[in-house]
Amino acid sequence: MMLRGADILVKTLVEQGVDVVFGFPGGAVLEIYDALYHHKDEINHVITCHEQGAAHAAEGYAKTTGKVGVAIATSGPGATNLVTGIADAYLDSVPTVFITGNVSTNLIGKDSFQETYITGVTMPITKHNFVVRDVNELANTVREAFRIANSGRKGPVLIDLPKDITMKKAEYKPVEIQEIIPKKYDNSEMIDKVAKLINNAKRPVVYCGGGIVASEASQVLREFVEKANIPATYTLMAAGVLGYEEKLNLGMVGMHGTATSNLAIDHSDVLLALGVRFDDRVASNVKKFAKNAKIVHIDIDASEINKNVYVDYSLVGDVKDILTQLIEHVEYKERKPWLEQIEEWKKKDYIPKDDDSILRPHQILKTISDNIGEDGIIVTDVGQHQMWAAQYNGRVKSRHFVTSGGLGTMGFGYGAALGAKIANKDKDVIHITGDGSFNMNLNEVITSVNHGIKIITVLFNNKSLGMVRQWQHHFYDDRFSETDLFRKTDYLKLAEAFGAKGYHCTNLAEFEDAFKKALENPDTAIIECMIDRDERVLPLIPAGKTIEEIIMD
Amino acid sequence: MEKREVLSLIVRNSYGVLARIVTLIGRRGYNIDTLTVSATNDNSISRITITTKGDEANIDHIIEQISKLEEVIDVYVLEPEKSVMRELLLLKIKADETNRGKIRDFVDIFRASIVDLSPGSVVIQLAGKSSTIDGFVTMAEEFEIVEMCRTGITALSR
Repeated sequence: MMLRGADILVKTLVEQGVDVVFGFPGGAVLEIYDALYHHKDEINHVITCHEQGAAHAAEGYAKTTGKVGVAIATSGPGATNLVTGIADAYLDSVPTVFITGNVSTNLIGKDSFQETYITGVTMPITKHNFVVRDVNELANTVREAFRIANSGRKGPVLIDLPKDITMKKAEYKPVEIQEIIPKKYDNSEMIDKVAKLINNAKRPVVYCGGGIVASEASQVLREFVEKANIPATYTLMAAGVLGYEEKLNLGMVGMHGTATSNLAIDHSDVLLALGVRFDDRVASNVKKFAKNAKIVHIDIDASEINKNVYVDYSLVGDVKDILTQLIEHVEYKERKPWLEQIEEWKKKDYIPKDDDSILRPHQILKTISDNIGEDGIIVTDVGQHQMWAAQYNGRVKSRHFVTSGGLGTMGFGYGAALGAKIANKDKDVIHITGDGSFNMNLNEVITSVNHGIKIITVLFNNKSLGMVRQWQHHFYDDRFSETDLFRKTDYLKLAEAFGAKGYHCTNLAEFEDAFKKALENPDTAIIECMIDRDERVLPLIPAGKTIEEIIMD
Repeated sequence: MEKREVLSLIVRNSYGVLARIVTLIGRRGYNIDTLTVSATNDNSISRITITTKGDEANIDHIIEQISKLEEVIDVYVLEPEKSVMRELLLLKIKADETNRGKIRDFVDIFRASIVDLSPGSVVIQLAGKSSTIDGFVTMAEEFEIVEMCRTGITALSR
């Protein structure tokens, strides 16, 4: 049938299984929004207050479901407002498709009103991007964008649509959604070698990351770890892939990871790096990282092998496939001295002290985790609260802890929480934030209230930019340059003004009470928790340093 | 150890493909010594030849990163002994009736050719291996060089 470009776009999105898009209208996307109006029954559009919120919502949707998240923005400022979200999706390998309008093809390149060369801007932060110059290519371009976003190492793809393309008509034929056939790699020889290495290892450690989540390998990972009896640690991107309190779980690794996990890697003789990229927040000092170990790297992206840390064995492919093959060849070993050593480290590891008379971060997190159960989703912003949430979230399932890992985007949380909640209507979505991050994009509370997308924000208010302030404490002799904010915002009034329910808490009992009420109440809520400004994230391994320089108090 | 490598990229001939490759190489911090883009016998496909410097690991990274681009069909290192590599040089030198004869002799030795003769200058063309061109340019310094242009390497495996 002959359809205009905008309708072809929407039809193709539906064909690709899209049920919700996030976005914000504007001049260059008027046709697209007209098409969305006509196809309301097939596709739900959620308007955010700012395109950045839409981009993060698409990420939140994708991170909690594994499906491709979609956001739409108009040309010029609409498109550039997406950029932080696109960069975020790129660094965390989040399958997303961004659709931007642009000026008509006859106006491109003339500095026309609201024109930006968004494909140029986003070239280094997308897996690929397209400008559609012929309406006859539109449907296939959209299909290709979805394939690219969701295959191999996942990531963002942008489609730029000049306005005249959305107006022109072309023949549209629906196509059955094509199953992505993963690229096959033959690793059989390497699997035997690695299995032998594991079976002979005295002090093996598994170090797993976001790749486990992306390939849905959490279950097989747990079986593998148990079968081979290997202690395992995880990165920020993989919170929830291991049972939270299981014996073999060493806790999170890296700068704010447990001392145990960092010590275990340091002492390991074989390190199995699964779906990770040896980020500098983990392999802080690449020369000394796992210096005693033979390193085995399993990842879907060949360009990650030997990129940050040189490895001894590498297997390129889907980590779930490879683990499924590897598990057949590994044997249970008792590893008594190694596991005893780990127990010793665990006993001496950093344990925060409880104090019910004030609000201590780990106690807030425990209350949240206990109340939302294992199906509740925690979404964070970036800063101290994020690290506390990473340490004490208690998540035991993949895709139930959503955070901005690679880019570290303050202001990520609210938009992402919206996307998470839209995709998981029956689950509690808790947005954990600090006053610094929240103030960046708190406008999206409006979106939550207006669309009835219930988010509970737990706001860690220390009236400062805590993470930077902590670094100023440790490394700049307490010169708190621009981090002691003392902002006078009244969050109770702010919540009320937006139509949300506000709570203010200064001790644990107040928080428990407020949190329970917020869970029972159908409304979006903001729970302000007053936190001591000197509260720090511990342990801390300073940038570029090793476990030997860990700060524990 | 740092070495010089010639990479051959087979790419889809679409908008912005060169920008993608150059942006990628730039942001990853690699060097480009020379770069040529050329047509192939298939209109929809171009060949990009890049000379770059780096140690073995660097070169591997560049190749892995470039391979990830959607529009790159293939990328490989051209080994000197297994490929034909050529450059084209255009060299304008000052010339008048007093030294034209000397220039012609010099051009003949290198089997170069004079492709333009103007009242005050000549333009010499030479195609060959980079090392031949390097030698030619060094020798040409005895004349007064007005302008020079080298295309950079274009290459095919044997």
